Amino acid sequence: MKAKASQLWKDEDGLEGLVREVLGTKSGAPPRLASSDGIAGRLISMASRDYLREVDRFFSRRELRKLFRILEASIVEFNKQRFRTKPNEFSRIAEELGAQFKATPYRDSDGIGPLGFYVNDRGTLKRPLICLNSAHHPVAMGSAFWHELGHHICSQIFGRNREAVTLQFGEDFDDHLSEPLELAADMLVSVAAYPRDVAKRLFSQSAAESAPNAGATFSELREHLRSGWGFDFSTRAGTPENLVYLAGMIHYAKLRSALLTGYDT
Amino acid sequence: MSKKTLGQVVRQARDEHELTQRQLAARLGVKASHVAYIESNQRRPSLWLVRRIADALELDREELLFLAHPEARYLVTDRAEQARETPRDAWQQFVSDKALLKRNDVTRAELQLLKQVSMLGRVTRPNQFLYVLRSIRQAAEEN
Repeated sequence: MKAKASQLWKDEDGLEGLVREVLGTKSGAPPRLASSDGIAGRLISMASRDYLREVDRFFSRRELRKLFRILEASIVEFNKQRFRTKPNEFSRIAEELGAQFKATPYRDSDGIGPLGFYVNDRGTLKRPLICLNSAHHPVAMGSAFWHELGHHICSQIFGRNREAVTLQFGEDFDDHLSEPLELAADMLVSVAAYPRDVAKRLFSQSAAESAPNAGATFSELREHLRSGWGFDFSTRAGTPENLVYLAGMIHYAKLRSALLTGYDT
Repeated sequence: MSKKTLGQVVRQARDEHELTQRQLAARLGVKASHVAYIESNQRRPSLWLVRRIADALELDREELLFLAHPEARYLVTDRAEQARETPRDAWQQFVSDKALLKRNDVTRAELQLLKQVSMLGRVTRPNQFLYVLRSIRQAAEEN
């Protein structure tokens, strides 16, 4: 029996195993977590959302094509290469698009801190600022950069005052599905993380049909993180940010899959 | 409950139920040494075990989960509760701490900008406002 892409996200056993692994609680009998159970419930809820329908609610094909045309004209590597995580790359891209880039570390006492923020306030700064929390893993910083860059580009398209300040923590990805500007910024991340060729390999229907089971596809996503950016959940088990990163992995993969299948992007 | 450690909470509840570590372990289906490790905060229980402990000792499952895995709070906290209490509290704490504002020379314009940050409903700690403020100042100096 071969899995379809839509089944992957409903694989609660696979997701449950991932949750247990990222929390560093491998031992113990395997729990059967219902959707009403807190952490697994929120992740399962996110995993079972129809992302294509959510994108369709806010964006027409024409609008998305326009947005992506602008992005591809502005950023040469967009949708061709997966994003790099060197700070000088972030600086270069930000500068080319008229923004300033900065990375400074911050940690709360329990380890969780904001991923980054974007400020477009001429009263305080000469240029819009994209600031990242460098205490996070580089791949999380990369995701945060492209998200905030998305806000910067949207502010240029939709008008400066629309996006004076944004702040990103990463624990509220599902909220983004009901906020068009957040969703637009996330679309940028998903394409930067999964450029077209990679997305076709991972998310196209034919790819889904060749996957032996849903768990293997989660494995492919993890392999994508590992080979591309050296990120490995298993070596970070129990770290406070891990759940946020897991939520991000699911959110961006689902969004990219929706863009590929629904908009051929 | 939130100011105690997981181990303290389990130990206290076990005492209140007049159970030995061995008796509690039998109810949970684990070894007594595992209970001892949890009570001394040397081991974090699995999600499955959190549930069993909560049920066996009549503790709140969610509170116990947060004690065992504090990071989980960020994914499971009710959003309405977050919007109603935590961010507003953080902003109130920040703006009412006059000594902190004076020590950091926070200007009226900066305060206005940080208020916009607070209105996003995401910031849950006063220190996070300082992080944003300092980053913006550094960026302004470099510009």
